[in-house]
Amino acid sequence: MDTRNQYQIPQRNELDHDRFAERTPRSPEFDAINRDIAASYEQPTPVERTDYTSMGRSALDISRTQTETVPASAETLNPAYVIGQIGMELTTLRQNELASRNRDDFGLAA
Amino acid sequence: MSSLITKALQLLTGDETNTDWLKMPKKRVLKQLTERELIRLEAEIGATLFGALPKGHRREFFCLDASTWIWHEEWVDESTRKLQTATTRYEVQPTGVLKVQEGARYSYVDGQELDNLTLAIRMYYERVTREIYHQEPKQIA
Repeated sequence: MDTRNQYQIPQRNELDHDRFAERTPRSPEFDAINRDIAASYEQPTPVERTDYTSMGRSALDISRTQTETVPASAETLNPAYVIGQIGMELTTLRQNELASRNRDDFGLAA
Repeated sequence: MSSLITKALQLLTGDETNTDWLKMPKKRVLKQLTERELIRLEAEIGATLFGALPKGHRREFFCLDASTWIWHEEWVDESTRKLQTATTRYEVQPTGVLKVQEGARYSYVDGQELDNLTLAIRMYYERVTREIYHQEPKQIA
């Protein structure tokens, strides 16, 4: 038995997709919702990393960098986020200190 | 002899007639520091984070609120003998850190300057938390 063509991928024209799409017209609202959902997926942040595996080869290789697409959290890489977190921590410490000294003055401290 | 016994009894049972120690002192010294005074203490630590100060300069660096940091420096100009000041405000925004200087100069901090600022702020946080508030700093990012 000749099995050469047994696992051939069917051609597009052999499928019924186009005709199915014609039979089920979609509303513009439905398409808009789909676009919103697709857009809501977070895109991976490209991070530039030095290609350390090339060390020991040529100077050209050492200086070469490659860009990998790594799904990294943008927050941890963002210095503004870090500075903002520290600012909030310090503000909280300050307010707690003021509150505790007020409690001391009124004899309410534990 | 009787006075000796009375004194011994007072030592054992306490003197119930003397209740002065229960009264609140009228001139009680409040050790409460205002927020401004706490910020001044923090600013003294902040001033030490950027290396040695030139002679005659005075520097302050502090966290004003959750999203604002201030750099202030004063010095006397040798030629004019007038007091010079420079104040920079750093506004923390979701998109970055905006540097606002006198003369309506605005720019986002980036590159090495941003790295240095972040490092200084981390050191400020660690030292202020330990030395003023006597707590261990949290691990942030």
